[in-house]
Amino acid sequence: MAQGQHHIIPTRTLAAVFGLLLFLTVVTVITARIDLGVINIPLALAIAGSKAILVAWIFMALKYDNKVNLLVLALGFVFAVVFLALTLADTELRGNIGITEPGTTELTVEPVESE
Amino acid sequence: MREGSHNYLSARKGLWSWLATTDHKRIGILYAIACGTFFLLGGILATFVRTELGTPGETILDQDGYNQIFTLHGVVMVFLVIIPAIPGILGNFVLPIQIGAKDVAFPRLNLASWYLFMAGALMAVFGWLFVGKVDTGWTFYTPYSSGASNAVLWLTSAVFVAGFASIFTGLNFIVTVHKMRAPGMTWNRLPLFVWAIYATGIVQVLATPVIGITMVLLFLEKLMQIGIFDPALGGDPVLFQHFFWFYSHPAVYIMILPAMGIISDLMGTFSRQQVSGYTFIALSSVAIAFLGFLVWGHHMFVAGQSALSSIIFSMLTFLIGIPTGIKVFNWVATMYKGSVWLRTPMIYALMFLFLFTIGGLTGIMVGVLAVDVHLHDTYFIVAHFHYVMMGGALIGLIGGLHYWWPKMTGRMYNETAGVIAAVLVFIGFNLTFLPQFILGSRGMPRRYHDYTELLPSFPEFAPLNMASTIGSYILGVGLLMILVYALYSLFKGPKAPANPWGACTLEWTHTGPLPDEHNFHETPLVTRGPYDFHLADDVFGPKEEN
Repeated sequence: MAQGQHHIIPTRTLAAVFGLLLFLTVVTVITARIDLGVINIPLALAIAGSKAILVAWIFMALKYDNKVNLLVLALGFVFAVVFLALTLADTELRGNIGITEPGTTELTVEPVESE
Repeated sequence: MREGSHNYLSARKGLWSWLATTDHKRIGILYAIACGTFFLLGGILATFVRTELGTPGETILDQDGYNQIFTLHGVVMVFLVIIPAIPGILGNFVLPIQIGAKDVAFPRLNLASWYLFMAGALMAVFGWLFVGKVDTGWTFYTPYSSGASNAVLWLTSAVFVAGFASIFTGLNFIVTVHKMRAPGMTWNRLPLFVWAIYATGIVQVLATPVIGITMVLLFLEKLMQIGIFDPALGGDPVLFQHFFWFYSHPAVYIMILPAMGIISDLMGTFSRQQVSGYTFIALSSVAIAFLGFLVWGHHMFVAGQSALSSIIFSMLTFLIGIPTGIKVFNWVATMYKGSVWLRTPMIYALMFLFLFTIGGLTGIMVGVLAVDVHLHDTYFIVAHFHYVMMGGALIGLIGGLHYWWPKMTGRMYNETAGVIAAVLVFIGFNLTFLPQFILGSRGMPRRYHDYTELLPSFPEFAPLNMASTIGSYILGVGLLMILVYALYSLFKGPKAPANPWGACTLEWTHTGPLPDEHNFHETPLVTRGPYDFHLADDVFGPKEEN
């Protein structure tokens, strides 16, 4: 979007997104009160991520803006995911430092035959 | 080209004209003065460290003093010199002129970044002098930093504030390159220094907020006793290392990428030919910028990180060698059949090639899991990162300063003195750090102020440490010599011509000996690439027809 040509977002769209954000907030509260086991955190992140995308896409007008700005946002998002994924690959498997349980491997040494 | 009597230095007078300037060139000079001062401070601290280690036993520092001095050396050199220096000094001074712009996109933001940088620096100094000495090392690892005195909060706050300066600078350069290029300055006509600073800007904007967040979390944990990193409060100390290195490893590329850009320009100019593999060098900068985000875990192989993570990070680390190798091979190819002109800047470029390659290859070595287990926290690591940070980033900076010195000051320095200093720096550097590779591979740990108890098993530690200390003194003499002849040239040096190196980029071809306040009287029309010496009629005159 060139300078000085701001897209006017229809009030109806803004109201709809506002309603959607309120709904997602209610979902956040409800799901926080229910123990869903391993999907607790992924679900909370998914809802929060959806809300953030809605705000950036409509309220911050990324949908109508120069696509380079979208690329910048996407890059930030990608690196946040990379950071979380690789850090979780450590924290979720922290006990595993590559050492097998005692007695599960047998060390055998082949005698070297001298010529 | 006209001789500019009304240049950027003479256009305005007085201290206020400097402190309130929005001229990118003057801001570059402000960064030069600040970073130069901090470099001197960091260098003096390094001399203390080496003097203590020169002979066995406690000599000039006790163990607490030693820990405090190497911490301050690390913080000053990393956060106040190597990270800000090339973008702050040369990026500011050169980049806008190289793309044919009158200034950066946001001149006031540019000045604000310098003030933020200075505020961060002063906070560090104030905290050190009046709050307390920090001995955590420059990495502030928890739980040590969680339990340390409140002085660590001053230092981390200083890093937080200085980080914003870095973000502002990176943002400014990204927008400037996108929006301010002169007509005809297409992306494939950008000088490679601009490409490097652009890639650096991406890293600065994406990575630096993470160190800010990390420092805030550390702050919150210490002040409010919230368990984040401190195991005593239920936190995870390795998580701190994830946060810290997610910034600090890309920060290594904030340091080295601009230096690589300088070397590309030097190779082209002083070999008198097109830089070989221009597109590959340009895109390899971007590739390094992105890959640099994926390898932070290689600092944590022995920190208790999971085996899966370590394997992934080890493999990703090897990938970095590819774009780096592309650059090194292309620089060598640029010299092949070129008219290599061995002036001081080119000597530093060759020095970079030699030293950075050693630093880079030893980096691949310690990226191997099994090797790193043995070498982690030894002097091998100290040698490796000094070959990258000093042999790469700072040697690149010194080469760049020699190259652009005539344009910045309007004066020439003494070439003979330049060559002698370069030789001293080269000898001193290698004598300092080559023995440290051997020391580390034999098991000498880093961050020990004394090694007397190790001598019965490792008698070679004494002569190797002595050699390293003597090397550091030679290096110091070489660096001081540069300071002396640079200051001398400011007052007594012969006046520089507009283009003493016969270079082809706009800062040499389209400005006077000293650029005007707004760089150009008319916006340049760019019709050729930055290293098209065979097309540069405006530099060398029309070619003679045979």
